[in-house]
Amino acid sequence: MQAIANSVEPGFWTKASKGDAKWNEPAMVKTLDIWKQLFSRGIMQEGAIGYQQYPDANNDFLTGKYAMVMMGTWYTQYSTEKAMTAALKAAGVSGAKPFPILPIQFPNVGGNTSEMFGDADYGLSISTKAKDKAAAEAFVTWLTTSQAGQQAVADQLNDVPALKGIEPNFEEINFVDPATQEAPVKDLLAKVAPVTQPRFALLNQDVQDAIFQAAQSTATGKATPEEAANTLQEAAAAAQ
Amino acid sequence: MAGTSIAERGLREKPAPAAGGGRRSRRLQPQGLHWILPALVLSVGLIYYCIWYTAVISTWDWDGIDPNPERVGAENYIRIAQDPIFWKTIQHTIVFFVVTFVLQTALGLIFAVLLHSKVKLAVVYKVIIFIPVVLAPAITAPVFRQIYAPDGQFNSVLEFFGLGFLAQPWLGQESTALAVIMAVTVWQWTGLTFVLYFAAMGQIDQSLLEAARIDGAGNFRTLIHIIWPGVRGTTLALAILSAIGALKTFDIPYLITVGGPNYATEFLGTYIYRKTIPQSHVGYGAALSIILLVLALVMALILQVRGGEKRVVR
Repeated sequence: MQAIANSVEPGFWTKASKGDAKWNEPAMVKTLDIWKQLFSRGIMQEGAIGYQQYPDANNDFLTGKYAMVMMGTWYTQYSTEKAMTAALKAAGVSGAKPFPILPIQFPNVGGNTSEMFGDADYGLSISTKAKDKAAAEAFVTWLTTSQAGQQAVADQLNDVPALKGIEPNFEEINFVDPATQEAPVKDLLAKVAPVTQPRFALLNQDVQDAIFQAAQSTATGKATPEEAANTLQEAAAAAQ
Repeated sequence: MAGTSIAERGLREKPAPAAGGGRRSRRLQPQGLHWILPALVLSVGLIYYCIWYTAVISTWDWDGIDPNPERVGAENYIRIAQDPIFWKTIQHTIVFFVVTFVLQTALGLIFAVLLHSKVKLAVVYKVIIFIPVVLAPAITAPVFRQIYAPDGQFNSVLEFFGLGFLAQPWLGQESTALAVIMAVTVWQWTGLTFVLYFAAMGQIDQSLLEAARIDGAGNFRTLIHIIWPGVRGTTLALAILSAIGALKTFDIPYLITVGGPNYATEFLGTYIYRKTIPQSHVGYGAALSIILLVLALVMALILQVRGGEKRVVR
Protein backbone atom coordinates (compact mmCIF):
# COMPACT_ATOMS: atom_id res chain seq x y z
CA MET A 1 0.00 0.00 0.00
CA GLN A 2 2.83 2.35 0.91
CA ALA A 3 4.64 1.48 -2.31
CA ILE A 4 1.56 2.30 -4.37
CA ALA A 5 0.98 5.54 -2.44
CA ASN A 6 4.58 6.57 -3.04
CA SER A 7 4.00 6.22 -6.75
CA VAL A 8 0.72 8.14 -6.65
CA GLU A 9 1.94 11.07 -4.56
CA PRO A 10 5.48 10.93 -3.19
CA GLY A 11 5.63 12.01 0.45
CA PHE A 12 1.90 11.66 1.13
CA TRP A 13 2.18 8.47 3.14
CA THR A 14 4.67 9.94 5.61
CA LYS A 15 2.55 13.08 5.99
CA ALA A 16 -0.56 11.02 6.72
CA SER A 17 1.40 8.83 9.15
CA LYS A 18 2.43 11.92 11.07
CA GLY A 19 -1.11 13.30 11.01
CA ASP A 20 -0.22 16.19 8.69
CA ALA A 21 -2.55 14.81 6.03
CA LYS A 22 -5.77 12.88 6.23
CA TRP A 23 -6.06 9.26 5.19
CA ASN A 24 -9.14 9.98 3.10
CA GLU A 25 -7.50 12.54 0.82
CA PRO A 26 -7.66 11.92 -2.95
CA ALA A 27 -4.13 10.46 -2.97
CA MET A 28 -5.18 7.66 -0.62
CA VAL A 29 -8.46 7.06 -2.42
CA LYS A 30 -6.50 6.68 -5.68
CA THR A 31 -4.05 4.36 -3.90
CA LEU A 32 -6.89 2.17 -2.68
CA ASP A 33 -8.43 2.20 -6.14
CA ILE A 34 -5.20 1.01 -7.75
CA TRP A 35 -4.96 -1.65 -5.03
CA LYS A 36 -8.51 -2.73 -5.75
CA GLN A 37 -7.75 -3.02 -9.46
CA LEU A 38 -4.99 -5.49 -8.70
CA PHE A 39 -7.80 -7.82 -7.69
CA SER A 40 -10.63 -6.81 -9.98
CA ARG A 41 -8.41 -7.04 -13.06
CA GLY A 42 -7.08 -10.44 -12.12
CA ILE A 43 -3.48 -9.34 -11.58
CA MET A 44 -3.52 -10.93 -8.14
CA GLN A 45 -4.25 -14.65 -8.23
CA GLU A 46 -7.61 -16.01 -7.10
CA GLY A 47 -7.86 -16.39 -3.35
CA ALA A 48 -5.00 -13.97 -2.77
CA ILE A 49 -6.86 -12.47 0.18
CA GLY A 50 -6.50 -15.70 2.10
CA TYR A 51 -2.85 -15.98 1.05
CA GLN A 52 -0.15 -15.19 3.57
CA GLN A 53 3.31 -13.75 2.97
CA TYR A 54 4.84 -16.51 5.07
CA PRO A 55 4.56 -19.42 4.42
CA ASP A 56 2.38 -19.26 1.30
CA ALA A 57 3.94 -16.55 -0.91
CA ASN A 58 7.46 -17.35 0.22
CA ASN A 59 7.19 -21.09 -0.35
CA ASP A 60 5.38 -20.77 -3.66
CA PHE A 61 8.01 -18.38 -5.00
CA LEU A 62 10.88 -20.56 -3.84
CA THR A 63 9.31 -23.69 -5.30
CA GLY A 64 9.06 -21.96 -8.64
CA LYS A 65 5.29 -21.53 -8.83
CA TYR A 66 5.41 -17.78 -9.28
CA ALA A 67 7.90 -15.61 -11.11
CA MET A 68 7.78 -12.59 -8.82
CA VAL A 69 7.20 -11.97 -5.12
CA MET A 70 7.00 -8.72 -3.18
CA MET A 71 9.39 -8.83 -0.29
CA GLY A 72 12.05 -6.45 1.02
CA THR A 73 15.78 -6.03 1.28
CA TRP A 74 15.92 -8.88 3.76
CA TYR A 75 15.21 -11.19 0.85
CA THR A 76 18.61 -10.32 -0.63
CA GLN A 77 20.07 -12.97 1.66
CA TYR A 78 18.54 -15.63 -0.58
CA SER A 79 20.62 -14.53 -3.55
CA THR A 80 23.55 -16.52 -2.16
CA GLU A 81 23.89 -20.18 -2.93
CA LYS A 82 24.05 -21.31 0.68
CA ALA A 83 21.01 -19.39 1.88
CA MET A 84 18.95 -20.23 -1.20
CA THR A 85 19.60 -23.95 -0.77
CA ALA A 86 18.62 -23.81 2.89
CA ALA A 87 15.48 -21.83 2.07
CA LEU A 88 14.48 -24.30 -0.63
CA LYS A 89 14.86 -27.17 1.81
CA ALA A 90 12.75 -25.30 4.35
CA ALA A 91 10.09 -24.69 1.69
CA GLY A 92 9.93 -28.42 1.15
CA VAL A 93 11.58 -28.78 -2.24
CA SER A 94 13.35 -32.11 -2.53
CA GLY A 95 16.61 -32.12 -4.44
CA ALA A 96 16.76 -28.35 -4.05
CA LYS A 97 18.57 -26.60 -6.87
CA PRO A 98 19.19 -22.94 -6.12
CA PHE A 99 18.15 -20.38 -8.73
CA PRO A 100 19.23 -16.74 -9.03
CA ILE A 101 16.87 -14.02 -7.75
CA LEU A 102 17.10 -10.34 -8.64
CA PRO A 103 15.72 -7.20 -7.04
CA ILE A 104 13.62 -4.91 -9.26
CA GLN A 105 12.11 -1.50 -8.72
CA PHE A 106 8.43 -1.33 -7.74
CA PRO A 107 6.47 -0.64 -10.93
CA ASN A 108 5.36 2.91 -11.66
CA VAL A 109 1.63 2.41 -11.06
CA GLY A 110 0.64 5.91 -10.12
CA GLY A 111 2.71 8.16 -12.30
CA ASN A 112 5.87 8.63 -10.22
CA THR A 113 8.86 6.51 -9.32
CA SER A 114 7.99 4.84 -6.04
CA GLU A 115 10.47 6.00 -3.41
CA MET A 116 11.84 3.24 -1.18
CA PHE A 117 11.07 3.15 2.53
CA GLY A 118 12.34 1.24 5.52
CA ASP A 119 12.90 1.15 9.26
CA ALA A 120 15.21 -0.45 11.75
CA ASP A 121 14.35 -4.14 11.50
CA TYR A 122 14.60 -4.76 15.22
CA GLY A 123 16.16 -3.36 18.34
CA LEU A 124 18.64 -5.05 20.64
CA SER A 125 18.05 -4.82 24.35
CA ILE A 126 19.66 -6.19 27.50
CA SER A 127 17.56 -7.44 30.38
CA THR A 128 18.00 -5.51 33.62
CA LYS A 129 18.04 -8.90 35.32
CA ALA A 130 20.88 -10.26 33.16
CA LYS A 131 23.72 -11.89 35.08
CA ASP A 132 26.52 -10.68 32.82
CA LYS A 133 25.29 -7.22 31.89
CA ALA A 134 28.75 -5.87 31.15
CA ALA A 135 29.51 -8.71 28.76
CA ALA A 136 26.14 -8.33 27.06
CA GLU A 137 26.67 -4.59 26.69
CA ALA A 138 30.11 -5.18 25.24
CA PHE A 139 28.70 -7.63 22.70
CA VAL A 140 25.85 -5.36 21.61
CA THR A 141 28.20 -2.39 21.29
CA TRP A 142 30.60 -4.50 19.23
CA LEU A 143 27.87 -5.82 16.95
CA THR A 144 26.25 -2.47 16.25
CA THR A 145 29.14 0.00 16.19
CA SER A 146 32.39 -1.79 15.46
CA GLN A 147 33.64 -2.34 11.92
CA ALA A 148 34.07 -6.09 12.42
CA GLY A 149 30.60 -6.55 13.89
CA GLN A 150 28.87 -4.48 11.23
CA GLN A 151 30.84 -6.24 8.53
CA ALA A 152 29.47 -9.54 9.81
CA VAL A 153 25.95 -8.09 9.64
CA ALA A 154 26.50 -6.72 6.14
CA ASP A 155 27.88 -9.96 4.77
CA GLN A 156 24.65 -11.80 5.61
CA LEU A 157 22.82 -9.59 3.07
CA ASN A 158 19.83 -9.68 5.41
CA ASP A 159 20.02 -6.33 7.19
CA VAL A 160 21.63 -3.18 5.85
CA PRO A 161 24.39 -2.19 8.31
CA ALA A 162 23.73 0.88 10.44
CA LEU A 163 27.38 1.94 10.40
CA LYS A 164 28.08 4.17 7.41
CA GLY A 165 30.76 3.08 5.02
CA ILE A 166 30.35 -0.65 5.61
CA GLU A 167 29.65 -2.64 2.47
CA PRO A 168 29.22 -6.37 2.06
CA ASN A 169 32.43 -8.11 1.16
CA PHE A 170 31.45 -9.32 -2.29
CA GLU A 171 34.69 -11.30 -2.64
CA GLU A 172 33.46 -13.69 0.05
CA ILE A 173 29.80 -13.82 -0.94
CA ASN A 174 28.84 -16.66 -3.27
CA PHE A 175 25.97 -15.70 -5.50
CA VAL A 176 24.06 -18.42 -7.28
CA ASP A 177 24.82 -16.69 -10.59
CA PRO A 178 27.22 -13.77 -10.07
CA ALA A 179 27.01 -12.67 -13.70
CA THR A 180 23.33 -11.72 -13.41
CA GLN A 181 23.01 -11.00 -9.69
CA GLU A 182 26.04 -9.01 -8.55
CA ALA A 183 25.30 -5.76 -10.35
CA PRO A 184 21.61 -5.42 -9.39
CA VAL A 185 22.31 -6.33 -5.75
CA LYS A 186 25.15 -3.78 -5.51
CA ASP A 187 22.88 -1.22 -7.14
CA LEU A 188 20.09 -1.94 -4.64
CA LEU A 189 22.39 -1.65 -1.63
CA ALA A 190 23.74 1.66 -2.92
CA LYS A 191 20.19 3.00 -3.38
CA VAL A 192 19.09 1.82 0.04
CA ALA A 193 21.71 3.73 2.03
CA PRO A 194 20.14 7.21 1.71
CA VAL A 195 16.53 6.07 2.34
CA THR A 196 14.86 8.08 5.08
CA GLN A 197 11.17 7.31 4.64
CA PRO A 198 9.93 5.11 7.50
CA ARG A 199 7.86 1.98 7.06
CA PHE A 200 6.24 1.12 10.40
CA ALA A 201 7.95 3.53 12.75
CA LEU A 202 5.26 6.21 12.56
CA LEU A 203 2.27 3.87 12.63
CA ASN A 204 1.01 2.32 15.83
CA GLN A 205 -0.57 -1.13 15.76
CA ASP A 206 -4.13 0.20 15.60
CA VAL A 207 -3.43 2.30 12.52
CA GLN A 208 -1.62 -0.61 10.87
CA ASP A 209 -4.66 -2.73 11.61
CA ALA A 210 -6.96 -0.11 10.12
CA ILE A 211 -4.84 0.05 6.95
CA PHE A 212 -5.02 -3.73 6.74
CA GLN A 213 -8.79 -3.52 7.13
CA ALA A 214 -9.06 -0.91 4.39
CA ALA A 215 -6.95 -3.11 2.12
CA GLN A 216 -9.07 -6.19 2.77
CA SER A 217 -12.42 -4.47 2.39
CA THR A 218 -11.51 -2.85 -0.92
CA ALA A 219 -9.93 -6.01 -2.27
CA THR A 220 -13.03 -8.08 -1.49
CA GLY A 221 -15.29 -5.34 -2.84
CA LYS A 222 -17.02 -4.91 0.51
CA ALA A 223 -16.26 -1.20 0.49
CA THR A 224 -15.48 1.35 -2.19
CA PRO A 225 -12.10 3.09 -2.02
CA GLU A 226 -13.82 6.24 -0.71
CA GLU A 227 -15.66 4.37 2.03
CA ALA A 228 -12.56 2.46 3.04
CA ALA A 229 -10.49 5.65 3.14
CA ASN A 230 -13.08 7.35 5.35
CA THR A 231 -13.18 4.39 7.72
CA LEU A 232 -9.39 4.40 7.82
CA GLN A 233 -9.29 8.12 8.65
CA GLU A 234 -11.79 7.60 11.49
CA ALA A 235 -9.80 4.72 12.91
CA ALA A 236 -6.49 6.57 12.60
CA ALA A 237 -7.92 9.66 14.30
CA ALA A 238 -9.30 7.51 17.12
CA ALA A 239 -5.99 5.72 17.53
CA GLN A 240 -3.93 8.86 18.07
CA MET B 1 -6.77 -42.91 64.41
CA ALA B 2 -5.15 -39.52 64.23
CA GLY B 3 -7.76 -38.48 61.69
CA THR B 4 -10.65 -39.37 63.96
CA SER B 5 -9.28 -37.54 66.96
CA ILE B 6 -8.76 -34.35 64.95
CA ALA B 7 -12.31 -34.56 63.71
CA GLU B 8 -13.60 -35.11 67.24
CA ARG B 9 -11.61 -32.18 68.54
CA GLY B 10 -12.98 -30.05 65.75
CA LEU B 11 -16.51 -31.03 66.69
CA ARG B 12 -15.97 -30.31 70.36
CA GLU B 13 -14.44 -26.91 69.66
CA LYS B 14 -17.45 -25.77 67.71
CA PRO B 15 -20.02 -23.70 69.68
CA ALA B 16 -23.36 -25.21 70.73
CA PRO B 17 -25.43 -26.06 67.70
CA ALA B 18 -28.34 -23.98 66.50
CA ALA B 19 -31.47 -25.85 65.44
CA GLY B 20 -31.16 -29.31 63.82
CA GLY B 21 -29.72 -27.91 60.62
CA GLY B 22 -26.48 -26.88 62.36
CA ARG B 23 -25.94 -30.33 63.76
CA ARG B 24 -26.47 -31.89 60.34
CA SER B 25 -23.96 -29.65 58.61
CA ARG B 26 -21.27 -30.37 61.17
CA ARG B 27 -21.64 -34.10 60.73
CA LEU B 28 -21.31 -33.66 56.98
CA GLN B 29 -17.98 -31.83 57.33
CA PRO B 30 -15.66 -34.08 55.33
CA GLN B 31 -12.89 -35.50 57.43
CA GLY B 32 -10.45 -35.28 54.59
CA LEU B 33 -10.77 -31.51 54.23
CA HIS B 34 -7.49 -30.92 56.00
CA TRP B 35 -5.66 -33.24 53.63
CA ILE B 36 -6.97 -31.84 50.37
CA LEU B 37 -6.71 -28.26 51.58
CA PRO B 38 -3.25 -27.58 50.08
CA ALA B 39 -4.25 -28.89 46.66
CA LEU B 40 -7.59 -27.10 46.91
CA VAL B 41 -5.95 -23.80 47.81
CA LEU B 42 -3.52 -24.14 44.95
CA SER B 43 -5.94 -25.01 42.18
CA VAL B 44 -9.05 -23.12 43.24
CA GLY B 45 -7.15 -20.22 44.77
CA LEU B 46 -4.97 -19.81 41.70
CA ILE B 47 -7.90 -20.03 39.28
CA TYR B 48 -10.15 -17.70 41.22
CA TYR B 49 -7.31 -15.31 41.88
CA CYS B 50 -6.56 -15.18 38.15
CA ILE B 51 -10.20 -14.60 37.30
CA TRP B 52 -10.38 -11.80 39.85
CA TYR B 53 -7.16 -10.27 38.50
CA THR B 54 -8.47 -10.44 34.94
CA ALA B 55 -11.62 -8.66 36.09
CA VAL B 56 -9.48 -5.93 37.64
CA ILE B 57 -7.37 -5.51 34.50
CA SER B 58 -10.53 -5.28 32.42
CA THR B 59 -11.16 -1.90 33.98
CA TRP B 60 -7.76 -0.57 32.85
CA ASP B 61 -6.51 0.85 29.58
CA TRP B 62 -3.17 -0.97 29.69
CA ASP B 63 -0.53 -2.20 27.27
CA GLY B 64 0.75 -4.91 29.60
CA ILE B 65 4.06 -3.23 30.36
CA ASP B 66 3.34 0.32 31.50
CA PRO B 67 3.81 0.58 35.29
CA ASN B 68 1.00 3.15 35.45
CA PRO B 69 -2.11 1.75 33.82
CA GLU B 70 -4.96 4.14 33.23
CA ARG B 71 -8.11 3.25 35.12
CA VAL B 72 -11.15 3.64 32.93
CA GLY B 73 -13.90 1.77 34.75
CA ALA B 74 -16.45 0.14 32.51
CA GLU B 75 -15.28 1.91 29.35
CA ASN B 76 -13.83 -1.28 27.85
CA TYR B 77 -17.18 -3.01 28.20
CA ILE B 78 -19.02 -0.10 26.59
CA ARG B 79 -16.60 -0.15 23.67
CA ILE B 80 -17.06 -3.88 23.32
CA ALA B 81 -20.82 -3.43 23.09
CA GLN B 82 -20.27 -1.04 20.17
CA ASP B 83 -17.59 -3.13 18.49
CA PRO B 84 -18.89 -4.66 15.25
CA ILE B 85 -16.09 -7.24 15.23
CA PHE B 86 -17.11 -8.47 18.68
CA TRP B 87 -20.68 -9.06 17.52
CA LYS B 88 -19.30 -10.84 14.48
CA THR B 89 -17.40 -13.20 16.75
CA ILE B 90 -20.58 -13.92 18.71
CA GLN B 91 -22.44 -14.63 15.50
CA HIS B 92 -19.68 -16.92 14.26
CA THR B 93 -19.58 -18.74 17.59
CA ILE B 94 -23.31 -19.42 17.52
CA VAL B 95 -23.31 -20.61 13.92
CA PHE B 96 -20.21 -22.68 14.61
CA PHE B 97 -21.70 -24.28 17.70
CA VAL B 98 -25.03 -25.17 16.09
CA VAL B 99 -23.57 -26.56 12.88
CA THR B 100 -20.70 -28.51 14.40
CA PHE B 101 -22.82 -29.89 17.24
CA VAL B 102 -25.58 -31.09 14.90
CA LEU B 103 -23.15 -32.62 12.41
CA GLN B 104 -20.93 -34.23 15.04
CA THR B 105 -23.92 -35.66 16.89
CA ALA B 106 -25.51 -37.02 13.72
CA LEU B 107 -22.30 -38.52 12.38
CA GLY B 108 -21.16 -39.83 15.77
CA LEU B 109 -24.53 -41.48 16.36
CA ILE B 110 -24.66 -43.02 12.91
CA PHE B 111 -21.15 -44.40 13.21
CA ALA B 112 -21.91 -45.77 16.68
CA VAL B 113 -25.07 -47.46 15.47
CA LEU B 114 -23.33 -48.91 12.43
CA LEU B 115 -20.43 -50.25 14.43
CA HIS B 116 -22.72 -51.82 17.02
CA SER B 117 -24.06 -54.13 14.38
CA LYS B 118 -21.95 -57.00 13.11
CA VAL B 119 -19.29 -55.40 10.96
CA LYS B 120 -16.07 -57.02 9.80
CA LEU B 121 -12.91 -55.31 10.99
CA ALA B 122 -14.90 -53.03 13.29
CA VAL B 123 -11.78 -52.19 15.25
CA VAL B 124 -10.06 -50.78 12.16
CA TYR B 125 -13.01 -48.48 11.50
CA LYS B 126 -13.08 -47.33 15.11
CA VAL B 127 -9.41 -46.44 14.97
CA ILE B 128 -9.80 -44.58 11.68
CA ILE B 129 -12.71 -42.57 13.03
CA PHE B 130 -10.90 -41.73 16.25
CA ILE B 131 -7.45 -40.82 14.91
CA PRO B 132 -8.35 -37.19 14.00
CA VAL B 133 -9.16 -36.54 17.66
CA VAL B 134 -5.59 -37.24 18.74
CA LEU B 135 -3.90 -35.28 15.96
CA ALA B 136 -2.52 -31.92 17.01
CA PRO B 137 -4.23 -28.98 15.28
CA ALA B 138 -0.79 -27.45 14.68
CA ILE B 139 -0.10 -30.37 12.37
CA THR B 140 -3.49 -30.70 10.71
CA ALA B 141 -3.94 -26.98 10.07
CA PRO B 142 -1.15 -26.54 7.49
CA VAL B 143 -2.31 -29.70 5.76
CA PHE B 144 -5.84 -28.35 5.47
CA ARG B 145 -4.50 -24.99 4.29
CA GLN B 146 -2.83 -26.87 1.48
CA ILE B 147 -5.91 -28.96 0.72
CA TYR B 148 -8.26 -25.99 0.54
CA ALA B 149 -5.86 -23.71 -1.33
CA PRO B 150 -7.14 -22.49 -4.73
CA ASP B 151 -4.81 -24.98 -6.41
CA GLY B 152 -5.11 -27.53 -3.64
CA GLN B 153 -6.26 -31.11 -3.53
CA PHE B 154 -9.91 -30.36 -2.71
CA ASN B 155 -10.42 -28.40 -5.92
CA SER B 156 -8.49 -31.09 -7.83
CA VAL B 157 -10.85 -33.75 -6.51
CA LEU B 158 -13.87 -31.65 -7.47
CA GLU B 159 -12.51 -31.25 -10.97
CA PHE B 160 -11.81 -34.96 -11.19
CA PHE B 161 -15.47 -35.69 -10.52
CA GLY B 162 -16.58 -33.17 -13.09
CA LEU B 163 -17.60 -30.65 -10.42
CA GLY B 164 -14.94 -28.18 -11.56
CA PHE B 165 -17.47 -25.35 -11.56
CA LEU B 166 -17.57 -25.64 -7.78
CA ALA B 167 -13.83 -25.09 -7.46
CA GLN B 168 -13.15 -21.78 -5.73
CA PRO B 169 -10.70 -20.18 -3.30
CA TRP B 170 -12.29 -21.67 -0.19
CA LEU B 171 -10.05 -19.90 2.27
CA GLY B 172 -9.85 -16.64 0.38
CA GLN B 173 -13.55 -15.83 0.44
CA GLU B 174 -15.60 -14.61 3.35
CA SER B 175 -18.53 -16.75 2.26
CA THR B 176 -16.75 -20.08 2.48
CA ALA B 177 -13.97 -19.60 5.02
CA LEU B 178 -16.18 -20.31 8.03
CA ALA B 179 -17.59 -23.40 6.35
CA VAL B 180 -14.05 -24.75 5.95
CA ILE B 181 -13.29 -24.12 9.63
CA MET B 182 -16.47 -25.93 10.62
CA ALA B 183 -15.69 -28.83 8.29
CA VAL B 184 -12.23 -29.26 9.80
CA THR B 185 -13.65 -29.13 13.32
CA VAL B 186 -16.29 -31.73 12.53
CA TRP B 187 -13.59 -33.94 11.01
CA GLN B 188 -11.49 -33.55 14.12
CA TRP B 189 -14.09 -34.14 16.82
CA THR B 190 -16.58 -36.61 15.37
CA GLY B 191 -14.36 -39.39 16.70
CA LEU B 192 -14.95 -38.24 20.26
CA THR B 193 -18.72 -38.07 19.77
CA PHE B 194 -18.60 -41.52 18.23
CA VAL B 195 -16.67 -43.06 21.10
CA LEU B 196 -18.99 -41.58 23.72
CA TYR B 197 -22.12 -42.65 21.90
CA PHE B 198 -20.71 -46.10 21.30
CA ALA B 199 -20.16 -46.53 25.02
CA ALA B 200 -23.56 -45.07 25.91
CA MET B 201 -25.34 -47.34 23.49
CA GLY B 202 -23.72 -50.32 25.11
CA GLN B 203 -25.62 -49.34 28.26
CA ILE B 204 -29.02 -49.48 26.61
CA ASP B 205 -31.00 -52.45 27.81
CA GLN B 206 -30.87 -55.18 25.16
CA SER B 207 -34.35 -56.37 26.07
CA LEU B 208 -35.76 -52.98 25.03
CA LEU B 209 -34.27 -53.37 21.59
CA GLU B 210 -35.48 -56.93 21.30
CA ALA B 211 -38.99 -55.91 22.33
CA ALA B 212 -38.95 -53.21 19.69
CA ARG B 213 -37.88 -55.75 17.08
CA ILE B 214 -40.65 -58.09 18.04
CA ASP B 215 -43.15 -55.26 17.83
CA GLY B 216 -42.04 -54.72 14.26
CA ALA B 217 -40.03 -51.51 14.63
CA GLY B 218 -37.62 -50.94 11.77
CA ASN B 219 -34.06 -49.64 12.16
CA PHE B 220 -34.98 -46.00 11.81
CA ARG B 221 -37.80 -46.20 14.32
CA THR B 222 -35.57 -47.95 16.83
CA LEU B 223 -32.97 -45.25 16.39
CA ILE B 224 -35.36 -42.37 16.98
CA HIS B 225 -37.53 -43.78 19.72
CA ILE B 226 -35.22 -46.01 21.70
CA ILE B 227 -31.59 -45.26 21.04
CA TRP B 228 -31.78 -41.47 20.87
CA PRO B 229 -33.66 -41.05 24.15
CA GLY B 230 -31.45 -43.71 25.69
CA VAL B 231 -28.28 -41.69 25.11
CA ARG B 232 -29.78 -38.41 26.27
CA GLY B 233 -27.24 -38.03 29.06
CA THR B 234 -24.35 -38.29 26.62
CA THR B 235 -26.01 -35.86 24.25
CA LEU B 236 -26.36 -33.32 27.02
CA ALA B 237 -22.75 -33.71 28.10
CA LEU B 238 -21.61 -33.34 24.50
CA ALA B 239 -23.79 -30.24 24.11
CA ILE B 240 -22.11 -28.57 27.07
CA LEU B 241 -18.65 -29.60 25.87
CA SER B 242 -19.45 -28.43 22.37
CA ALA B 243 -20.78 -25.09 23.56
CA ILE B 244 -17.74 -24.38 25.68
CA GLY B 245 -15.48 -25.67 22.91
CA ALA B 246 -17.14 -23.31 20.44
CA LEU B 247 -16.53 -20.41 22.79
CA LYS B 248 -12.91 -21.41 23.32
CA THR B 249 -12.04 -22.35 19.77
CA PHE B 250 -8.70 -20.87 18.77
CA ASP B 251 -6.20 -23.16 17.11
CA ILE B 252 -8.10 -24.17 13.99
CA PRO B 253 -9.33 -20.69 12.97
CA TYR B 254 -6.03 -19.07 13.95
CA LEU B 255 -3.80 -21.52 12.13
CA ILE B 256 -5.87 -21.92 9.01
CA THR B 257 -7.23 -18.46 8.29
CA VAL B 258 -5.82 -16.26 11.11
CA GLY B 259 -9.35 -15.03 11.73
CA GLY B 260 -9.69 -13.79 8.17
CA PRO B 261 -10.42 -12.97 5.49
CA ASN B 262 -11.74 -9.70 6.78
CA TYR B 263 -12.69 -11.19 10.17
CA ALA B 264 -14.91 -13.82 8.54
CA THR B 265 -13.55 -16.53 10.82
CA GLU B 266 -12.85 -14.43 13.89
CA PHE B 267 -13.87 -16.07 17.16
CA LEU B 268 -13.76 -14.79 20.70
CA GLY B 269 -10.56 -16.73 21.36
CA THR B 270 -8.73 -15.37 18.33
CA TYR B 271 -10.06 -11.86 18.94
CA ILE B 272 -8.88 -11.89 22.55
CA TYR B 273 -5.44 -12.99 21.41
CA ARG B 274 -5.35 -10.40 18.63
CA LYS B 275 -6.32 -7.57 20.96
CA THR B 276 -4.04 -8.61 23.81
CA ILE B 277 -0.77 -9.61 22.21
CA PRO B 278 -0.13 -7.96 18.82
CA GLN B 279 -2.21 -4.86 19.61
CA SER B 280 -1.23 -4.62 23.29
CA HIS B 281 -4.74 -3.67 24.41
CA VAL B 282 -4.53 -5.86 27.48
CA GLY B 283 -7.45 -4.21 29.28
CA TYR B 284 -9.73 -4.66 26.30
CA GLY B 285 -8.65 -8.28 25.93
CA ALA B 286 -9.29 -8.87 29.63
CA ALA B 287 -12.78 -7.43 29.31
CA LEU B 288 -13.42 -9.77 26.38
CA SER B 289 -12.16 -12.67 28.48
CA ILE B 290 -14.58 -11.85 31.30
CA ILE B 291 -17.42 -11.74 28.80
CA LEU B 292 -16.27 -15.11 27.49
CA LEU B 293 -16.34 -16.51 31.02
CA VAL B 294 -19.85 -15.16 31.63
CA LEU B 295 -21.08 -16.59 28.33
CA ALA B 296 -19.61 -20.00 29.13
CA LEU B 297 -21.27 -20.07 32.56
CA VAL B 298 -24.60 -18.98 31.11
CA MET B 299 -24.42 -21.63 28.38
CA ALA B 300 -23.54 -24.34 30.89
CA LEU B 301 -26.37 -23.26 33.19
CA ILE B 302 -28.95 -23.17 30.40
CA LEU B 303 -27.95 -26.59 29.15
CA GLN B 304 -27.92 -28.08 32.64
CA VAL B 305 -31.33 -26.68 33.48
CA ARG B 306 -32.82 -27.85 30.21
CA GLY B 307 -31.31 -31.26 30.71
CA GLY B 308 -32.47 -31.36 34.30
CA GLU B 309 -36.03 -30.51 33.32
CA LYS B 310 -36.08 -33.36 30.85
CA ARG B 311 -34.95 -35.77 33.50
CA VAL B 312 -37.69 -34.66 35.90
CA VAL B 313 -40.34 -35.05 33.22
CA ARG B 314 -39.28 -38.65 32.61
